Formats: sequence, C-alpha cells, structure tokens
Amino acid sequence: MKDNSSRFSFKRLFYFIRVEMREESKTWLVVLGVLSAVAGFLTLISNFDNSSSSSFLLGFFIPSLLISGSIYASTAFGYMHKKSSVHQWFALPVNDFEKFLGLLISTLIIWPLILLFLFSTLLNLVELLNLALRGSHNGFFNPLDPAIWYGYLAYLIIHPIYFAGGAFFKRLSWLFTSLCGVGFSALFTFFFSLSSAGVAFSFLKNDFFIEKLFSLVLSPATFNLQTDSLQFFSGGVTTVIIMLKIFAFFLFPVGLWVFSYLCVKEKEVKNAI
Amino acid sequence: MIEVSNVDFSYRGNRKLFDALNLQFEMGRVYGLLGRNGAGKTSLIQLILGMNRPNLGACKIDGFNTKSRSAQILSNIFFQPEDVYIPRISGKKYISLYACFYKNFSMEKFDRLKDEMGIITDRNLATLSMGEKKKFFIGFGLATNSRYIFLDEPTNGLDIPSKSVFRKAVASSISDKQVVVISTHQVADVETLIDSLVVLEGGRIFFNDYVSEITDNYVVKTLDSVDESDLIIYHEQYPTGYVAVMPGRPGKDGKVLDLEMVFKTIIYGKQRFNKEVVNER
Repeated sequence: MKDNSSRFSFKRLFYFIRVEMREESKTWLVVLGVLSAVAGFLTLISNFDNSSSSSFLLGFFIPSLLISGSIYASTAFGYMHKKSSVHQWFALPVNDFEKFLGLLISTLIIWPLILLFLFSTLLNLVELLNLALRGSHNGFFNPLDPAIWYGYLAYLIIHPIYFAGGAFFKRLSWLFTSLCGVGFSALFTFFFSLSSAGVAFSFLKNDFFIEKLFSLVLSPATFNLQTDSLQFFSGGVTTVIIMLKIFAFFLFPVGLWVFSYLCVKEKEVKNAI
Repeated sequence: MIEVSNVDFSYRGNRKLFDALNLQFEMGRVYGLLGRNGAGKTSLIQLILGMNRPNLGACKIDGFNTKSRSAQILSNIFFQPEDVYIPRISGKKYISLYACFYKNFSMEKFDRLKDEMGIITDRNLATLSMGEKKKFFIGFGLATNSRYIFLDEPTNGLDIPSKSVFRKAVASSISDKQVVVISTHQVADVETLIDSLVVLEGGRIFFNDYVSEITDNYVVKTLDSVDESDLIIYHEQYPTGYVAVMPGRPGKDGKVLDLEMVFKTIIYGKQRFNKEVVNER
C-alpha cells in the first residue's frame, strides 16, 4: 500500500535544506573564515604580476573547493551515524530520498556557490585594497572564468566518492574514503603496470598471441590503408574520450549517488536495546 | 492504530530479541511500556518507527508499513528519545525550523505549555540543563499534536516539581484521537498518567491491558507469613513481615496496588499470574 506522502515534496526538501544550512552554519562560517583569511592574506602579500594573478587566485580557489567540499561531503551524513542524533534524524518527517537529495544539493551546489561568492567578494575587495594602497593589483577574481568550471568538474568527480564514503563509513569517513581511494589507485596502477609489462614481455619473447595481435595492427595491409586507419584510429580515440567523459561525469557520479541513497534507505539504528 | 504483527527481530549477530511479537496500540490510551533492562523497549519503539526493520512480520501505523519511513507517517509521530540531540540554536529558532514538518503544530498550545512547564526558548538549547532540554522537547512534542507520541524515559533529568508539571501537561494536552506510549523504569513518575500497560518479557508481550484489570482485582496485603496461602501471587519480605499480592477488592480486601507492584507481580509472580491473568487474555 502506498500513501500520498511517499511522494516527493519540494516544500519538505526546502525545509530540510534550511535545517541543514542552519545546523551547519557555524562550521561553514569557521571554514569560510579560515579560507578567506588565508586567501586574503596571500593575495595581499603576493608579488604583483598581473599576468599570473588570475591563475594564482584560481589556483587557490580550486583546491579550497576540492578539500573543503570533500570534507563537507564526507561528513554530511554525520547526523545519521551519530548515536546522539540518529533517532532525531530518522524521526524527522522527511522521506529518505528527500534527506539524501537535500544533502546532495547542499554539498554539490550550495557549498560551491557559497565558496565562489565568498572568494569573488573577498579577493576582489582585497585587490581593490591593493590597488588603493599600493597602486597595483594581482588582477581581479572572475567567478565566470572557465577554469572555475574545470575545477567544478573535478569536484564533480571527487564529490560522489566522498559523499558515498560519508554515507557508508560511520566514523572518520574522510580518512577511510581517502585510504580506499589510495588503495584502489594503487591496485589499479599495479594491475595496469603488470598487464603492460606482460604485453611488453610477451612481445619481446615472440609470444604467439601477441605477435598475431601486433601483426594484425602493423600488417602491410594496415600501412596501405594508413590514411583511413588514422582516421579510424582518431575516431576511435574520440569515441573512447566521449565514453570516458560519460563515465567520469555521469555514470560514475550517478552510480555513487545511487549507492549513497541506498545506504540512507537501508540504514538502521543499531544496538539500542 | 499501531499494529505489530508477527514480528521477529534480532540485531545482527545477536540472539533473537522478539519472536512472533503481536501487539496493538489503540487510540485514546496512554500506555506504559515496561520491561526489564534489555527487554527491548527502545528496540520495539524503533521498530514501530521504521528505524529498524523486522526480520519477519510488519509494523503498521494507520495501515501503512512503517519500514518505508514515509514523511506522512512520520509527520503523525513525535518521538522523544532518552538522549535528546540538541542543536546549538535557541528554542525559538528550533521551533521556526522544525515546526513546519508537523502539519498540526500549534504555537498557541506550545505557548500554553511554555507557561505551564516553565520552558525556556530564548537561550541556546545546548546551554540548558538536561531537565530544561527535556521540558522543551516534551512541550514541542505535545504541541505537534501528533497522533502518536512516544516518550522514552521522559522524566529522567526532571526535578521533582517538573515531574508533576510533566504529568499535568501530558494529561491536559492529549485527546482521544492520540496514543501516548511512555517507556520508562521510573514507574512512580507516570503512575497517575498511564491507563494501559504493555510489559515486555522474554521477547514477547507478557501483558497488554488496562492497568485497572489488575488494580481492580488484586490487592496488597501485609502478612506475617506467606506459607499458608495459595492465593499469594507475589510477595516481598520486609523486617516487619511480608507484603503480598493476592486476589481481592481494593479497599475491602487490602490496599490498592501501585504500578511498581503491578509490574513486579507481572514479571516475578508470573508462574501463578500466567495461569490466572495473562493466559486468559
């Protein structure tokens, strides 16, 4: 039997995000205060060189977003895991999906926007100060700079990893997620190196299968059709890049967000007899 | 109505806590949920609220399975856990943020309770004493006008005058369209409040009925010896003699049982009580 309000409600989602923002506001203020103090100070004391100024400011914004965003994403489910707050988290009249979506919006959209607003306001104020006091400046921070979007795309890959880690791990989620990431990277590198070495070794040892494979690729027929092959190869690379982009910016994040939602949906309160 | 049907439940890797548990909470009643430590009082509440999922069976509220944790079901429920989570905001701010989740929240009722119970709303909740925090959340919970109110150890941390105020506030705030379930070990604190009793024992509901079913039919007597009477269901030894629970009419055959004695009679006098009362239901 389905009741009416298993339906999604934007109003409840808004109320939930409002609660989330209010409860996190002090942490946000501390983080923003530290980041703005460091960024402002560095901007103020940096050498004046208009040509490199833009990359300097962006170079500070993007790591700030990636680090603070990953920490926020990994701690977003803290109320769901903490023994002191888990009952109130579940008793709050908001569907599991709305809770998940509220946290996703807060960490993926609201936090980067707040950070961007802060950086734009603060760094441009500091540069105005530089200009007024010293007659020169580092160049103004442009929130619409394409590099910001590239930084955000990097965040789009990092975010789901830490968000899923936050939903899965009860404690020290940022650390455990990072360790898992390092572990997976090491494992991937190891197997990639191993397979590359295997291919190279087989080739050197005139392995029958590898030889056949390479002979097919490097056969005279292939060379005769060099132009077509290059075009084919180029088309193949483009396809692979598109597929990688789809994987990195769509399938991978969506897959991990679905995993995060399932963690919320399946979460139960443990050991509270 | 709350229905718990054939619920089996165990925490992962632990013994079975509930075995084919069946229970109903009916509207307009104030239940005392009693049991020994580890009997599963809080776990039962968590199952009913969908915070835990049964291995078998189902918990339903108004016909809807609570494992979905749907907002509609939850907006009709207020649950005050034993350890209340305190956000670092003022009471006023808390109300402005959280009252909107409960469609029947009444600010007038909260203001009345605030005056009656001496609730503080203009200070940061995290800086309040445990009793003050509890009073705030009890007041908030009653003002939500939720159909189902669950209070886990509500009087822990309340001072003696506040306990009396708590009883009055609950009694004056609930209607016959609501169910209040109070899980507690402090039975004396809620004695005048509860009219029904649910006793959990050995993974089963050992007793579920009006308190008056026992207090109207059993009495407490002071005896010199307990050997001679087969009618004794439960007894305690004191320096001056024995206090025994026996069938009888209160006032005529002996004194009225208090809730603590009722509980002890149900739990410890169970062999005899089982035959005479529990199995008849």
